[in-house]
Formats: sequence, structure tokens, C-alpha cells
Amino acid sequence: MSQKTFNKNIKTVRLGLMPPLTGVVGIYGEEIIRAAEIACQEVNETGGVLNRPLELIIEDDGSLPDSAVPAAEKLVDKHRCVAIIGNLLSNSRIAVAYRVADPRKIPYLNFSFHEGGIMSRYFFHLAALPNQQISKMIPFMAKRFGSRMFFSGNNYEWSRGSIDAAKRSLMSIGGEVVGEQYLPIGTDPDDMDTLISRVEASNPDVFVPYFAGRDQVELLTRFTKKGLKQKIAVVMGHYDENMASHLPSEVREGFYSCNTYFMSVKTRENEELLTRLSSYPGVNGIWPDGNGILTNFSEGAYLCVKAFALAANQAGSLDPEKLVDALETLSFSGPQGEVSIDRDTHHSTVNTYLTRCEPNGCFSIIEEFGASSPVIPDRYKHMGTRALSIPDEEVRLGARIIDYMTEGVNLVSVDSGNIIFANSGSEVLFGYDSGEMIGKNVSELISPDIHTPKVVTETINNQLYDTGVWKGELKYLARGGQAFWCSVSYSAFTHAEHGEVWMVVQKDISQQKKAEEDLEKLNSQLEILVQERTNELVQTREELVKKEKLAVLGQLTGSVNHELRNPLNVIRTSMYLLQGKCNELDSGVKILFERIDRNIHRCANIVDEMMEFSRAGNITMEPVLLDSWIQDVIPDLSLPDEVKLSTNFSAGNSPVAIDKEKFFRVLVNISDNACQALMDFQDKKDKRLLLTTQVKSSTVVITLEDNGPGVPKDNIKSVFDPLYSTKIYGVGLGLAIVKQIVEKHSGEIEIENISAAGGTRVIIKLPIFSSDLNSTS
Amino acid sequence: MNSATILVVDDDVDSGQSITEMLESKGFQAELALSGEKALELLQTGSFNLVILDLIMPGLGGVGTLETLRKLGLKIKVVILTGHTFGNEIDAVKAIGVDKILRKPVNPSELFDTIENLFL
Repeated sequence: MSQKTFNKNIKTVRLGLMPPLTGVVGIYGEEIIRAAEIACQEVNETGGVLNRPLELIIEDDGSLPDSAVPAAEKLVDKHRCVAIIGNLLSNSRIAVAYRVADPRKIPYLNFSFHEGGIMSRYFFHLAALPNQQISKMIPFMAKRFGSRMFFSGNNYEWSRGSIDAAKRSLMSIGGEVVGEQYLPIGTDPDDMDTLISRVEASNPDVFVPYFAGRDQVELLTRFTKKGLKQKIAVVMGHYDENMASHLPSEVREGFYSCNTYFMSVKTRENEELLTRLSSYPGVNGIWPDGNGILTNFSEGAYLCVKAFALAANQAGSLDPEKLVDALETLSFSGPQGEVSIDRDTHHSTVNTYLTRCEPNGCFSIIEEFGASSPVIPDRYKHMGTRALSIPDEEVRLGARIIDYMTEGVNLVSVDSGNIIFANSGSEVLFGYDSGEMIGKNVSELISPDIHTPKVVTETINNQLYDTGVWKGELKYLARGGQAFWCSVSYSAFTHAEHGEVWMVVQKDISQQKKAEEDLEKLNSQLEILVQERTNELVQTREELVKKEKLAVLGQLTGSVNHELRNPLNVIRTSMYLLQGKCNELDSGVKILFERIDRNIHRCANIVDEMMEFSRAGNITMEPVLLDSWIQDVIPDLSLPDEVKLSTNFSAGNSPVAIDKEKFFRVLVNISDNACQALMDFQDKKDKRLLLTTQVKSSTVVITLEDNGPGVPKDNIKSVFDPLYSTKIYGVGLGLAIVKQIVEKHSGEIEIENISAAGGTRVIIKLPIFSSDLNSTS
Repeated sequence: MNSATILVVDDDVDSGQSITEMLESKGFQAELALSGEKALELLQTGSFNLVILDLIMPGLGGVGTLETLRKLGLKIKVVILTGHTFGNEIDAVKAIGVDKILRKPVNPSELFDTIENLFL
């Protein structure tokens, strides 16, 4: 009958509709189309839109942003729809609002209760915000069943936003959150069981699950099977006739739901709607008697079509700006009751009902909360609380930039220090999910390992109060506990809603910091290297000086030797002559002659020693079996009779390369030294030397031990230094010569005291000779 | 045995004189030459049984004196008395051939023993 009202040649007014016909919420697609078509039918029966028939163009939104956006584009760009309706899921809704409706300036009406995260001139919402649904059901459930609640849901914006609102509502009435857990979409059934066990263990009064589609069906089924329904009340904002129709009666019964529309609502408009539905093609009866089901979504779609037609007729135009202006003041009666759009937020005053599902799938109304106006939740207040009537490109651009920039931006309330806004850059930086940072205290983000967050915050605050700005570097902690550095700026300004706030901008400089630290590390390594090189140079220089000294000494020694020996010779021969001239040598004179002679000998020894030292460097080596060679040369050492030498040779088959003449000097000098110590140690009756050889790894070790008094501790390091001597006789080159010769043999020499009681041990290590190595010279 | 005539060659007057006097005190005939050149001159004119020769001297020096002496075919015993213990000069005189090398400061009895042994 409606079609007859219009001339067939009149062009239709095209209104786009995007129900989910496929994907996770595909079950709602058909009822949405039915309700929208019924509304369209009613519009056309009463004159259509501007006297033209209204035509719905339907595109499946596929339950995903990736399919919803092309669907919306197709409706606008291809089908020339003047407005669009749709998108049940939040992520699709946000994408369509900002990527299609906003840029094209196309009015976009939505029928699905949501968390409140869209604010735009072209966006109109004709369903519940959290305050119109969650904030009603939580206090009600708390009052009826108790205020200890467990929250859980899928890990995405709608669940998190809804649970955030539910928690705030619970807190505001002094309730207790006994548990909170998020699981990914498409959760493994085992994980679902784990969750249910946790819920059971927490023993809440009320369980609030916010899972989407099949996850929710799975959860409710398992929850029921576990027998928890009798113990724990369950309430949801998205439990409806359609979902109940997919559940067995023992599962669906007894769960509570809160929303703007149920089929059981008693209004004239609802009665009319259900009547039309019953005669809709393909409908075999009204639920639960037939497949004619409606939910808050389809009722919302019905309202959207009605709202569009009313606004267009009121505006007398299809011009988007005029449509928007008209929509902003719209008020009309729907199946749920009176509905009116809020001019500031573009959300609506809607009606709220709390129901319980009966075994037959009907929802009995337990409580009617009546109409309430929309309130944008705190977590979305940063978007402004007013859908701008004049699009301010600059402001919109600013908001977009803040949303898309990689730097973190937080708004912090000066009074509480709590974060009232965090952009996605900040959430990524700190590893939080969308909206999770809201309400956190800003000091919780600061790593406590340098200064306490309190000290850091106070320092920043003091400067902010003074100058209004703070800039610096802060070490933060991400959600997982890992620390990172940011370059941070704080600036103070007055926010229209929140009063005094600080804007905190964080730029991740961890990489720079790491580079700086690496550089510092390199620098200190470099310093160490420089120090090492310097030490080496100093040592080399000292060695050079020593070598030069020795070279000069060598040169000098040659001539000194000769020059001294001549006068000594004169003294000796003259003394001989003098002796001859003293006819009667009394004993006193004889002693004097002997003393002179002894000292002539001593002087000659000194010059010999010097000569030996200056010549020690030139060696000619040959392989020798040390044990037999030492045995051969022992008699030549001319040890004093008082000293008893014992030996223990066990280096038999390991040859060493030595310069026999020079190495003999080594043995002479160390044994002389030891004997000297023993002879000076007059109290010692039993004067012993022990000479041993043995093989240790790749060396032959020669040790000479005496049982003398030992070397004073302070001196032990200096005994090998040239010109060091504690002996009354000698210049102190004996052991220096030994060391020089041993080192020329690529050997090592040490001296140690055997015990506190006395005794000295000289240890010489020589490399075992190997024929495939060139012997050093 | 004390009939040997000895030429002491030493550029150091004190050294040369003290040796000469010491030898004389033992009954030897001894004469002193203060250079190699002077020694060669004396050796060619006089009759000596033994030369006690210092090595390091200005001019011809000990080695040069010994070389010349041998070249001239003078059959005379030579004892080197030097402050040197090693070095080119020692090697050189060893190569030419001498009867004994003694080191300054010499023990008088060692010197006398040496002379005694040479003329046994």
C-alpha cells in the first residue's frame, strides 16, 4: 500500500545500512534488517522523506573494520546514500566514524550500546552509554546480591571500556573488585575453564562477563555446567533474546541483563513493532513461539531510520549540515519509550531496563530505571564533551595528531596526580592497553631506582608551580617492569573540564641513552687502554734507561777494569817490596799487610763483577741434560767446607738450552750468595744447601735452598736489582747477573723465604728444549 | 836460575818500576821499557830471556809489539801481564802465541812461579 503513495519516477532517498551479516556478531544481522525495513515501511506509509520514498541500501559490515570501512565507502560513494546507519562492534564503528563519515561529512547513526569513544559532529548514537546501562545494573545487582564482583572480558576496547565503567560504578558505592581478567578474542576453551575456576575461587557475589559472540556462549555454557549459577549471580550488558535463543534453556535461564530494550517492554510502539514483525516475510511467529526476534540492536536500528526520516523532514533538506542540525534537537517515541538526542554529545536520552532470562528465553523485567541522559565516561572526556557544531579543522587535526604521534601524551590532574588522558603513543610506550592508563597516578610510572617517585614528582611540581614548565629526562617503568628513558616535558594549563592539568609529553630516548652509555663505556675502556699504554711506555722507558745505563756501565767497565787493575798492581808489587824492606815483621805489621792484600783482591773482584754484568747479554746456547751437567760442575763451585750440599735430581730426560759458561756463573753466584748468608749466620752450626731439579709442565725447575737466616721481607723484592747488596763485600751485581742470564735463557727466577724460621729458596725455571723451536740467542 | 834477564814493558811508570824492582829484589836482572817501540829497540840490541809485556799502551801497544817481535824472529819468552781479562787484545795475543797470561794485580809468588817454570 505504501508504494502506491509515490510516483514510480520519483527518485528514492537512499539511506545506507550496515548490519553484520557475517562474522562474530552475524547472528544479529537479520533482525537489524527486519527492524530497519519495518521503520522504512512506516516512514514511507506516512509520506516518506521530503515526499520521496525512503530506500534502504544494505551492505554487510562483516563484523570487522576491514570490511566495515569499504562497506560504508560503497554506500556513500557508489550508492550515494545521504546518511549511513550501522556497525555493531566498536572497532568497526570507530573506523567508519573517523575514516568514512567524518571526511565525507555524512551523518552516521548508530544503534549499538557503546563505551563512549566517539565524538564527532556527524556521529549520532541512539543506544546506551555506560551510565545508561552499566551504572544502573551494577548498583542494582550490588544491592540485591552483594557488592563483591568479578569482572572479565575479551581483551579489546569494548570489554575494557565497559568493565572500566562497571568498576567505577562499583567503587562509587563502596563495592569490592575481587577479580579482573582479560582473554583474547577466540579464547581456548581450556583457558575459559581456568577463568571459571578463578571466578569460583574468588567467590564473588556477582560475576560480570564481557565476552563477545561465541566466547560469551562458551563461557555461559561452561559456567552453568560447573553448577555456579546457583552460587553466583551473573549480569551482563549484552545478554539478549537473540543470544538466549542460541542457548539451551538450562543455560540461558537465570542470567541478568540490562539494556535499553527487551521484547517484553510494554509500550504501544513496541506492540506495533512486534505486530509488524509477526507478518514480516519469513517470520513464523514472535519469540519464543517463532523466529521473530528483536533485541536492543534491532530496536536501535529502527530508531536510527526513524530519526533520519524525522530530521530530514524537519530540516526540509538532505544537506548533511542541515541534517546534523536537525538531528541534534530530535526527540521522538520509540518502542523502548521516549528518546531524545543530546545536542552537546550527539548521544541520546534512552530508557533502561533490568531483566532476568526465563527458561523459555523471554526476559522478565525486574526493574525499570526510566529515561536518563547520556554522560560521556571520564576516559573519553579528552575528546571534548561537546560534538562541535562548527567543525574546527585545526582542533580535529590536533586531536588526530595526538592520537597518531609516537610520542606519549598524558594529561594529569594537578589535584590528584592521576592520569585523565593517555594517547595511544603513551599506551604503546608503557605497554598498556587502550584506556588502561586512565586513573593511574603519574608517579606510578616513574622508576624508583634513582630517586623515589615521590621525590621526582615533588621536584617537577615545584618547578611547575614556579615556571609552569619542566623539561628533563625520566626513567620510567613499563607495565611489564622493564625500565626505559624518556625525554619529558611538563606544561601546565587549565582544562575546560578538569581545571588545572599538566600535559606530559614523553619521548622514548632509551636508544640514545644506550648509545650514550655505550659511548661512556667505550670511553672508560679507552681510558684504561691509554693508562695501560702509558704504563707500558713508562716501563719501556725505564727499561730503555736501564739498558742505556747498562750500556754506559759496560763501556765504563772495560776501561775502569783496566785502569783500576794497573794501580792495584802497583800497590801489590810495592807492598811486596815494602815487606822485603821490613826485616823483622812483627805480627801487627803482618796483619796490616794481609789486610791491604785482602782489599786489593776485593777491588779486583768488584771490577770483575761489573765486567761480568756488562757482558751477561751475549750468550750462545746449546741443548744440555741439566742433571748430569750440574753434577759435573758442582766441584767447580768451590763451596766452603763448612757447608754441606745435598742434591736431588729428577729432570733426567728433559734437555734445556743453556750457555754453559753463563749458566755456570748463575750456579756460582746463587751458591755464593747462599754460602755467604750461611757463613754470616755464625750461630748456625749445621749449614746446609739443597740443590734439586724437576720437570713441571713444560719447564725444568732448578731450586737451591739454604737453611740460613732468610731474606728480610722488605728486601726480597729488590735482591735481583743491580747495585743492590746487603753484603759488606761486593757491588751487588751477583744476583742481577743471575737474573739477566736466566732471562736471556727465556727463563724465570724467583726468590722466597721458606718459613718464618728462616731458609731461602731460589727457583729457576727454564723452558724444556724442543728441537723444532729455534733456540733463542 | 836468577840469571834470566827480563825486559818489563809498561807505559805506567809506577807499575813498570814496581815490577822491575820486585824482580830485581828476587835477584833477576830487569830492565824497564815505557813503550813497545822502546822495548823493540832494547830487544834488538841487548840480550833478554823474557819479556813481561803489558797490553794496553799508547803507540804500538802490546799486540803490535808482540807481532813485530815475532816478525823479527826474536826467540824470546813472553809473559803478558795485563789488567784485561778478555777482549780483542787477549784473543789476539793468544792467537799469536805467548807463554803465559797473567792478570794485574799479580800475586808476586804467582809471577815468580811462572818465571821459574819457564826456565826449569
